[in-house]
Amino acid sequence: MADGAGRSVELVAARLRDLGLDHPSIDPAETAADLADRIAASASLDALVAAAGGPDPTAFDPSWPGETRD
Amino acid sequence: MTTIGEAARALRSGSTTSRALTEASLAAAAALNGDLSAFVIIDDDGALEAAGAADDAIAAGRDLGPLMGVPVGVKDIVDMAGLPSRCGSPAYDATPAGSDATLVRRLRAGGAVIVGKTATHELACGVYTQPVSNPWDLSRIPGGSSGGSGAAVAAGIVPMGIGSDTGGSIRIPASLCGTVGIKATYGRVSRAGVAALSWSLDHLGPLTATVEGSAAALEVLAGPDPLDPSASSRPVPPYSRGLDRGVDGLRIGVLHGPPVEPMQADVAETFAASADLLGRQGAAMVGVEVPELEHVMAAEFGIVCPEAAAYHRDLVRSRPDQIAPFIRTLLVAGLVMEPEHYFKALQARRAIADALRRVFDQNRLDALLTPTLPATAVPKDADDLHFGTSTEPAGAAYVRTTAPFNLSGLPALSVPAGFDRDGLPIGLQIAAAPFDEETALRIGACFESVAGVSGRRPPVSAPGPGAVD
Repeated sequence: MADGAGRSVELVAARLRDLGLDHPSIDPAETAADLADRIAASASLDALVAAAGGPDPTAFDPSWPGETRD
Repeated sequence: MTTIGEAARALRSGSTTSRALTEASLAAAAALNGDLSAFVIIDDDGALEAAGAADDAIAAGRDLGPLMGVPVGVKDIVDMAGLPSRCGSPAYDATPAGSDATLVRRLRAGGAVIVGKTATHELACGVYTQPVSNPWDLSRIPGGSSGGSGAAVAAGIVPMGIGSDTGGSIRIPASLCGTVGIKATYGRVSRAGVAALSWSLDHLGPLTATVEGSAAALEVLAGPDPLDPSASSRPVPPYSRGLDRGVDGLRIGVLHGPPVEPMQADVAETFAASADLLGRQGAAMVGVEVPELEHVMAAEFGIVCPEAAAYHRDLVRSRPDQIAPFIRTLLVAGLVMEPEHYFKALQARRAIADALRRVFDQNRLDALLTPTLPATAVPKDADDLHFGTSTEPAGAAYVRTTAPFNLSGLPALSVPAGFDRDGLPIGLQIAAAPFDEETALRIGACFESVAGVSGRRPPVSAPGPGAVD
């Protein structure tokens, strides 16, 4: 299933069933609305991250290689 | 309750005993927990046994370190053998943990006395920590998710509480409750034996009454751990040394623009005054902006969402009705969304970390200053914060200034900087270069010594010298 703000509630409900998440406390309509917000937030990161490629995001290391400050 | 430093000195001089300190702490916990709900477990027997052992060690001339004989609290996401870790969630049962988390082993080896487990926001994912109250105003939140530790330290029940910090959960309650709190560099403190929220953003650390206390606690907590592959093998420096070196000659950035603004007027005034004060102590203050930080929230939650969902996938499938709606929605989204969003958020994190490094490099900064939070503590029943004509959910507003240092992994310290017109604490955040906790602590100690904030006690607090003294 492709992500997209326009995904229907029915598609979300089907996806929830596929994932074993069809439970009365999980509302497909609310889930679809929430997903739309999160996907929009993700799209906003396009301004920061190249459309394809870009830095290797794995193996996060907080140090600044090659630089010692003491 | 005394501070860590005062307790350590009194224990070594023989003017008090760990048993006396522990009994006072347990009495304060019993007396105040009805108002504060800071502790979910008070372990009288275990604490008194540990206090006795500490007193025996002192009598035998052994020195186990700066926390020897000192009462502390541990957040209820951290495993302690024989006690349950319920993570603030009805979905977690009362089964006792089979072993200690690494940081608990470090505390015990250092002679600390664990008086109990402190309350957390459900699954360490939130800033309210219901039903915990803020000792400065019982109608207001203590912050979160380490709200129990924040309230317990601010009220003087214990001089140190353990917190965890994925987007600010040590520094948020530290700021809202008027304590010190430090999130060290990612990997500096082991996460082994601690329930995760987001593996690549989670940090553990102390909330304390003083900067000296945070330095001492970090000396005990930090270090390598074969049980946590992210734990750094770098040597742990003596953080307590050099706290009195002042800030003369240091270059300190003062962050403006996103994500610091908007902020409450009292916070803005206190932040400006704090920067001026450090400048008068001899630091060169440099105004800086980091436009990339506009994207902090999208990157932060783009990572938390799938990592938390992966960690809690069995729970969200089997008992979703036992998870608060806000958190359940986040976890479900994390399972449903395509992985491209997660990897984009990780790439954004790298871009944000690189941007912070550039601002340090280009301005030759030793540290970066922000208000810890853009606002003081909201009432428990308030969902939003108001900044002039704009409104923002409190859960977002309280995270946007702290999360940059989870994404980048940089060490960040919160120290009390003042009070708003309602008498609520305001915090100052001091971030430093990777593994340069010493500089953040040095600046924090200097600020603490001249800011004039020390000595005020919250209306709900234990008898004694006070938590923030």
